[in-house]
Amino acid sequence: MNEEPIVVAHDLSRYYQTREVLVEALNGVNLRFQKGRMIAIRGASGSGKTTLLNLIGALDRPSSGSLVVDDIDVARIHGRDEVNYRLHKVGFVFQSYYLIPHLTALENIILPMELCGVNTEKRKIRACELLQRVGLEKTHGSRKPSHLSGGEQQRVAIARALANNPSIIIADEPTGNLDTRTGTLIIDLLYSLTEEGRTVIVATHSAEVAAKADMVLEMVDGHLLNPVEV
Amino acid sequence: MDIFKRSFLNLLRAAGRTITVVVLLAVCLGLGLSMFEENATAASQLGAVSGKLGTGIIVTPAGYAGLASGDAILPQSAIAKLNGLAHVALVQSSLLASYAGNVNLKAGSPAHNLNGPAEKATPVQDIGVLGLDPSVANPLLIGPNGYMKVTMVNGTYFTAADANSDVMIIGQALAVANHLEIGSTIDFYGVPVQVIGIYSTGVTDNRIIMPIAIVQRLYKLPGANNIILVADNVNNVNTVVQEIRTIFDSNTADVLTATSVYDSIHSDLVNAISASKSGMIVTFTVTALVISLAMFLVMRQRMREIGILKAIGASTRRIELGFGIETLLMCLASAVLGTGLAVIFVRKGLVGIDTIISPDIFLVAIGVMVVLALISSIVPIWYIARVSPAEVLRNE
Repeated sequence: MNEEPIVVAHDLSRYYQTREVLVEALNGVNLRFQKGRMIAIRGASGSGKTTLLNLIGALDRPSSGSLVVDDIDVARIHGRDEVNYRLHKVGFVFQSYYLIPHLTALENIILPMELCGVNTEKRKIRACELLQRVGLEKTHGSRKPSHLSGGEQQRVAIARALANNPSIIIADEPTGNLDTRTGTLIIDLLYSLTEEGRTVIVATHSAEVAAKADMVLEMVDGHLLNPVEV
Repeated sequence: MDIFKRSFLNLLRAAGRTITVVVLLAVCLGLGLSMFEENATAASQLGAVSGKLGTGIIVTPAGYAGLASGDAILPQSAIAKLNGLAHVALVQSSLLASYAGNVNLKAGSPAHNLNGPAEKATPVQDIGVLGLDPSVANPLLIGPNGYMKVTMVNGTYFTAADANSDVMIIGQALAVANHLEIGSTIDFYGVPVQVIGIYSTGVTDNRIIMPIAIVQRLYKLPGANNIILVADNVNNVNTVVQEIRTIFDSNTADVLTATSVYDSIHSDLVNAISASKSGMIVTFTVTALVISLAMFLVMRQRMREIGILKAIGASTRRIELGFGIETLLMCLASAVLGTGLAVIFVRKGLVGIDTIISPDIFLVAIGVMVVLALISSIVPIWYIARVSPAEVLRNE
């Protein structure tokens, strides 16, 4: 496996100002993730897992500190660079799948490629390949999310995340809405992506999921209990 | 092309909502367009009426009712000031009185001419004596059809030299009914006045017309009871009226313009213009609000979709464009339907006056909806730009 760090955070913090108090969602986090590994971030609800993932995925901006992902200073990008980062560098998998309900499975997978301007024929071919890659049949492609099981929907979500061949997959509680058996299959699928050289960062409160990862980080109240170095 | 196709499909997917919004917009637009057409028609008619109304202004003593008003006059000293007013092309003073002499004059019917029979004369009635300024070569008389020109059928009209001469011209019907001809004389308060001409206006030709100074002298009335002013331009009529009022206040004189004579037509049209303009503004404002609200509600409903799209890499600009295209497509559909509704509203007489539908109403509809779509998109688009995917997905 490649030993080069793909994610480096230094003193990373994120605060939210509510009416009454300042909420420290993340406080002084230091970490380094190696390429091609599966990293599990464990913690209870509200521990800051999702906040950390959102920062790495550039869905949110840190209040202070630095965050470099694949040589990109994510804390400072904006505009076109931010959009390109989300399009090409990372792929998101959510607990609730977040597929577009009125699009078929195949159309959901095609969507990121459409945003990149990929040729119609090419994106259809790639989408079919990805459907197979995540263990679904072609017939699943023409179904809408409401006609797929939870596990199938999550597979489609993973395929969508892989559409533009990102180097990092960010999965926030990917098995949260699934039964144990299906959840295991999904985690196995995610782990298999590391064999392709991708880095997979999974937020979970499940010990079983964390057990499958190459590295486990514990988060409590916005702090990493076991920082950092792999 | 992808974004256009996706926007179109989004509209089809929510067919019920799309149809509801389109119909609502079309009704608003149809009302607005019908008022727009009403406004245009009324303005056009007003312009036509104004053109026909002309530039004439009539000044008479306050409460004057023609021969029945007896000796009411406006003083000559004040009348002289009218000649100095700006924007006045003509001032024609006249003094109308009833014939008072020792001749039993009979009025003739308008159908008489010099070659016609005399036996159709009507019974004795007041014969009007009209004093005019002989220096005005083409005087105007006021008749049932408005202003009339005097046409000489025999003899001559006055010249400036006749200002103090005891001469007259008489109406054709009067001449025939009383066997009068050039050179005939008629007694006025013991003063013989000679006929030097016979005139016709085609309608009212029973009058005796004399130089105004003679009438003033004979009837001892040093003034005039009817003054016609002609403004140099229809747009200056009101200005001239205001200037007249500085000479004659409302207790002294009545001032009538052609506009006030045709007041009901004018006020109806002016009211129609005013009402349709207000109606137009209201309906187009409502249309814009409907578009904004519809866009906003759609956007709120699809907030999760916006968050997902942003999370997977869609730019804010692309999302805004998608919603913008959806709005525009709805507006264009409303423009088509709204045009049809406007035609129906007009034909069913829902607007106040007989409105003419212009051939370019469809283009107006398109133009209005495109502009309204753009304006109404500002707030929803600003909102989209501020959507944070992290926050949206967290709250979902």
